[in-house]
Amino acid sequence: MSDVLLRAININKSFAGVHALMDVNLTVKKGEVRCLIGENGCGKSTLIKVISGVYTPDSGELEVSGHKFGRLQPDQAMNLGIQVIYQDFSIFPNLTVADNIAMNTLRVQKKKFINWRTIRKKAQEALDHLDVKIDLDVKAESLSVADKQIVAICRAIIQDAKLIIMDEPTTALTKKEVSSLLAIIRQLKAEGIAVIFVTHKLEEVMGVTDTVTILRNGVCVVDGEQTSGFDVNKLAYYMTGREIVDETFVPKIQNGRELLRVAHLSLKDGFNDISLTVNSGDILGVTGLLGSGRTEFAQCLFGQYTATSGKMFIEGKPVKIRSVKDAIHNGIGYVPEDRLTEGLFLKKSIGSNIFVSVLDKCRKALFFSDNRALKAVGDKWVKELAIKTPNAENIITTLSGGNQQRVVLAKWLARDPKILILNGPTVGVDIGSKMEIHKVLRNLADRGIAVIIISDDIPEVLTNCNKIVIMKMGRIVGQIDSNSVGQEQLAGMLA
Amino acid sequence: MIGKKLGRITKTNEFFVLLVILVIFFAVSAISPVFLSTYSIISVLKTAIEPVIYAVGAYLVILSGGIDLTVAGIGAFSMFTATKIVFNMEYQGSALLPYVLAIAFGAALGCINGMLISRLKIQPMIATLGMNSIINGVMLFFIGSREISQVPVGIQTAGKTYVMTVFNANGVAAPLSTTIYIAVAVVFLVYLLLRYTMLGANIFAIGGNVESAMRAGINVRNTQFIVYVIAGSLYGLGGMVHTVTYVNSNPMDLLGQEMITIAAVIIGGARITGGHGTLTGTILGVLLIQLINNCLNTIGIPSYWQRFVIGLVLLIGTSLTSYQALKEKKRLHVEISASPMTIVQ
Repeated sequence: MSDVLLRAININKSFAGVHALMDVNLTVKKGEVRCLIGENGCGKSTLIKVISGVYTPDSGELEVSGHKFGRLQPDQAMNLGIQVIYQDFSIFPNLTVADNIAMNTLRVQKKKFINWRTIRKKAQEALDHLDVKIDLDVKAESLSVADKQIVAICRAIIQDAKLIIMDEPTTALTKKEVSSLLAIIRQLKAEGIAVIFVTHKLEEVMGVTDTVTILRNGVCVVDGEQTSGFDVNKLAYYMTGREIVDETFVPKIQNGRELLRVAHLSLKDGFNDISLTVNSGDILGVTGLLGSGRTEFAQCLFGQYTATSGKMFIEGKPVKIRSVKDAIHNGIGYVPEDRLTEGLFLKKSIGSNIFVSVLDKCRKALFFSDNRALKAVGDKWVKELAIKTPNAENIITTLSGGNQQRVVLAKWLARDPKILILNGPTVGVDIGSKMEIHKVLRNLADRGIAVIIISDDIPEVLTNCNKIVIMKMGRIVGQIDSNSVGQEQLAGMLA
Repeated sequence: MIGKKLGRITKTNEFFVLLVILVIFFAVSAISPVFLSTYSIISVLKTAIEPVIYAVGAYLVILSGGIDLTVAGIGAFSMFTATKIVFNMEYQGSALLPYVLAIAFGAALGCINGMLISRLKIQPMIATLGMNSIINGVMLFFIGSREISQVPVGIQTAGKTYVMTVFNANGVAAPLSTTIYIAVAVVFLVYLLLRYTMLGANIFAIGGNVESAMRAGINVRNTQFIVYVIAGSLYGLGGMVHTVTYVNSNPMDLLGQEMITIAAVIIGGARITGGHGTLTGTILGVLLIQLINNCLNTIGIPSYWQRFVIGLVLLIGTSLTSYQALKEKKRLHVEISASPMTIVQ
């Protein structure tokens, strides 16, 4: 068949004896939009790196436009028209948009000198081609995430890309930006450019992609079948190998006592007149689009911002929270949005990442910390939350994303919080770990903790919260019971 | 279009530095009217020749995401060793040979820096800190440190050819040496390098994001290596300009030059993390420091206050940008609707 663009045949790759890819086959045709999904560590990124020439496969063959290769070099792959858009877009923040788009072409052509007129012309052509308007002279660092992505796509196009691989392209985009990205992908498809779309957001898969490849533990379990034959549950089943059931959360503690009450709380340029109550045993979902004030509200509860007006009550008593220290002192815990950069000490052990929150409590005479007590805290929570590690003294980065998230949870649980706020608890977490985290949160609520989930993941909010607060433009526009609405309805309320 | 461009220029760091230079110049002229003269301008210019050459080298290194503490070490070693060689061989020719020798020594030492940093992956600060110490040690032990005041005739003639000489009201001369052509040539060549060659583009790229640079197929190691070699040659050249200017070769003159040089580059708007900053900014940074030195002399403030003021300018300059970034980061951007709205209750 002449319209086959890429064929990967029986690719094997192992790292230190662990099979990352086992006899994986992948065939992509011209103009096909393929979705590549799988849980973290299933071999998605390894496969991409083999295709783009970063890794050498242990065995197997690659065939690009009819030519066979045992392995590819990165520049060879680029010359064959294979372009990868990584999650960070590989953009130079200090260079202008024009430079970012066009400079790599000159590099590939091994030019020694720069002709600025060509650079600008080419960059402008690429932008016009996608019908987007971005100032060519602006530095890339000042662009929005969506615009950076467009710059990266333009760069791929003008290098005569035949296959564009996008690694988790929608993670940091708003709903609107996602739909314009999908429109661009449709355009590329119409021009005969193939796209491999790597993602873990199953809902998005359905809209644009023609076919789907699913990897599980390095094995290809679904290879290029029509997307139309799948629904979200079926995809999840193939990815994890188990049936995922979404049972709606029903609190065990009915009519629990009031733990947190917020009355007419406002923050300048953050949110306005927020009033709500969370009882012990509740899981409250605060949902809203990016820029609705949901994150600012969460950060204000945790003392990162001081409210401009309004009152807060914890267990019925009025409290003033002006700093994170006040919040912790009052029994509030917060798990930030970006678990990797905001919540963990990446160079430290699992145990110390957990007991860091109780350093002041486990103290012997003078300033010396009680190391034995600290170790016990770490070990206890590793066990309680079933964190997968042989030893709590291992460094945190040896854990998978889902397990790292549990360590962040453990850190806060070690302090025995009354109220636990989680901002986007499962952003960037694969479906299996997502379930696990939800299970842990439900357990916490059943133990009597008031849990607040800040999230725009509608299914997550609906199945895991018993109360939902909807925010829009800094205000509460609705407080509902989660079993009274459906997904479509809730999505409509957010927009 | 022009208005937009002008607006952009007024927001740049270079524009700000230029503004500070003008403000200082006219403020000092107001305090002491004799300052407002071509004599003052030439005096500042002539002292800026040597530091501009160093600063351009240091700028390239900082742009690529590195740092170089060997400015004084390489500068002093190159000029002193080159002068000593031509002195010992009783050389009678022009200043060309000592220049070439100094540049060659500088390039060779830059090579070692480049090797340590690009191949052995030693942190640039550690590598150049160690190298500076070693270079000074070697020079003191093997070559000596006694200044050479009887420099060969070629250097003497080169030092005494002037583009122009201006006098102040008291008849004191400020001669502008022909070495200014060297500084201008260096700036021009480096401008061409950064603007029109792929190597220049690659220096910006590795300073901006090393990971992206590697993915784009840039040879990061070679680019880094070349940067340190070019910088080394420039320090060597700058050192020789020093000898020519003062018709005297004393390695102790350059002590502490690396710090002043880095300060000038940073005041000029380059970011220590690499990738940002312009050649114009670097030159303005040097001019600002030289102007401050000159003004303090004019007003009669003792010279040891010069370092104090330069430190102050550096800290104020960087804290302004840092404060703005901090404020921007803390600001919230939620657009709050004017009236409450309810969809469901």
